[in-house]
Amino acid sequence: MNISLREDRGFLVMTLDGEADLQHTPTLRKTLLEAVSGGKPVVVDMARVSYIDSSGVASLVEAYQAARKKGFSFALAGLSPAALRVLQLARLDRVFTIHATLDAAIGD
Amino acid sequence: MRKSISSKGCNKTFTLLKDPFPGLSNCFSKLHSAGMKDAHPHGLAEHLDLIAAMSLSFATSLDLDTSLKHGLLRIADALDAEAASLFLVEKSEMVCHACAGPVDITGLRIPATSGIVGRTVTGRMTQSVLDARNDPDFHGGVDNKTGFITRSILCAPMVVRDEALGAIELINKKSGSGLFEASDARVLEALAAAAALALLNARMAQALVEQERLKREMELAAQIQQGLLPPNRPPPFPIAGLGRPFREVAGDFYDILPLQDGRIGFCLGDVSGKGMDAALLMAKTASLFRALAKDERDPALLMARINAELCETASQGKFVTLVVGFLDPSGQRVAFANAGHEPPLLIRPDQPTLSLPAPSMPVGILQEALFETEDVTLDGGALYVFTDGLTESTAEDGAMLGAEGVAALIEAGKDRPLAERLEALADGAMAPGRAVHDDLTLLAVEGLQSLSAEKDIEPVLHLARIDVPARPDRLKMVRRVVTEAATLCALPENRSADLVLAVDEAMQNVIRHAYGGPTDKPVNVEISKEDGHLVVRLTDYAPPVDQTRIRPRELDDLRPGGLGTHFIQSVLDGHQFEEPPPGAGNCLKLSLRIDPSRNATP
Repeated sequence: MNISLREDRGFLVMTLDGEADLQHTPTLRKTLLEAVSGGKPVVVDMARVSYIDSSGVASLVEAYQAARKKGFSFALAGLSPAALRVLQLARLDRVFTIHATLDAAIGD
Repeated sequence: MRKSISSKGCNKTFTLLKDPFPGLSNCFSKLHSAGMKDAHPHGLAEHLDLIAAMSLSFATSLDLDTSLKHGLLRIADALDAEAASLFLVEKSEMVCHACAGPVDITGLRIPATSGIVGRTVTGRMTQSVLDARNDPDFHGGVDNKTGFITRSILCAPMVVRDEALGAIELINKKSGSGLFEASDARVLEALAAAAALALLNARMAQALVEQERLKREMELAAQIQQGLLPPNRPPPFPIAGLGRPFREVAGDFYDILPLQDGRIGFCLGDVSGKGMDAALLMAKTASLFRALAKDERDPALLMARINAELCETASQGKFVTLVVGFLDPSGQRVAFANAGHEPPLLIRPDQPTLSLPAPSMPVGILQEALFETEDVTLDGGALYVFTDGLTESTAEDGAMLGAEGVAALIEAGKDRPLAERLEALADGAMAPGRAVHDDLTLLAVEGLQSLSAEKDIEPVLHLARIDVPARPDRLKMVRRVVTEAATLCALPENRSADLVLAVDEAMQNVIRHAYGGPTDKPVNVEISKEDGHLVVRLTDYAPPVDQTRIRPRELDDLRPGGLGTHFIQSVLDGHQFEEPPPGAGNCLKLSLRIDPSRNATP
């Protein structure tokens, strides 16, 4: 999977593209933890994530906890039905702040 | 003179003879008409009692040699001979069956034309030799060896129906001049003729007894053989057979054997030769098939094992042409091996009829013979296996039915149920004007119409299997294969995604927990459709895991990780560890119901 970072309207936007599985979890987890330590609110754009497994979900949970500890917001945006289904299975859909689209997350 | 002999009463043939000694009465009339001018007052009449007693002994005894011996002793005694012997013709030899006197030559064999006995039999004339030493045909071998001295000989042929069965020889008259007289000759001729007739009767009776015994044996064998053929099961059972023996005991056989794993085994064979030997070889081959089919998946290997067993105890020159095979649990594919048998026909709708000739020699010939497995798809048609009794049946003009004729008969009856179709096929080959010259044995394997209709059979449809190293970078490939299998089973997208997730999580558990981290050691992923479920089995070669330690995460616990097992439990309809195959560590079975009513996402 590809991971890219950019700043947009005061947010650190992290775009994930591909399958968030065990093969890519180490990179994903490292990048996420770096992102949440940057002193900015973080939005993870997941519109192009076709698959996510428990290890991917665990990385998101870890980043979420780290961001909260530092007092920054951590949100997910543009989840595909498949990815949302996995979060629902883990009952994490109510824990994360989830926006339908990236624009919804970083707009007014 | 003889009453009709019923098959029941043949053991008592002798007692059915009203006049056991017709030859004897003939003798009398002949002798009387000849005038008997030098008939001794103590000639035939004096020995009537002897003739009667001897004839009775022949007629009531089943032990011919004993009767001959007793008769001969009495003849020697009555005619005052020092020694006597009775020879019977056996092919080109004469064999001594009884003798009386100081030297026992029972069992002695001489050429049929040799000596005084030979001359008597060849010429069918009584020989009276006054001085044996001066007769050029006298052999004297026994005398030389034993010191016995042969002086005079009287030898009469045992003639019946112009055939000389043997001769009775008397040696050295003890009384009077020491020479046998003309009256002695006539008594001996009469006795020899009576003995010949009794002997012939006894032989015929024995042949009848033997024939009857064989007939009973064949009837029994036919019963046993018919019992070996399995009865046909009602539709929709996909395999049926038919056997019509040409003689009582057939050399053909077939068997149908449903197996525990859902396969159905079948075989059809034709034993070389006919009769009892062939029937026994047939029974042996059929039981070998029954015993070995359970443990062998590959028909070629099954055939090789049957061949090896038959070769080990082969009866001389006998062999079996044989087809063995399996209908797989899906009911659509047949794998079979053909050892020298008539080519089976594969007849499928909208496809050309295929004749599938045998690539290998018959079984029972060569221990090292190799066999091949042929895989065919039934596509709504059927595979027909039959013996050459069918293809070689002839029309009035002598033309053989052949494979094309068989295919035409099958086509004519294609709408009938399987077993009836085979009956119609056999009836067609035996239609008026046609002739069958051998056993007719047929078997057909038809594709199952419905997978779940047959309750006897647990359908297992193998979809895919991949073996991957336990590494995260191979998970994507596993997910792809599972996705493909789910699509193949028409699973909706959301259910497919659930299954893929569960398999992925289970694979991760194998990598992380069973193997303790990524490794090149293998995980076997097998996907099948079983009993309305899509089933994925993961088999690893790690040490067995402690299943009690596998628990789902507490959901209010926000710790990362521990989610995988929860996912598996949430999305699947079943997951359990199975007994792993030999050499493997763990086998996890994951199953998802293929049921339209449950396919909506909750």
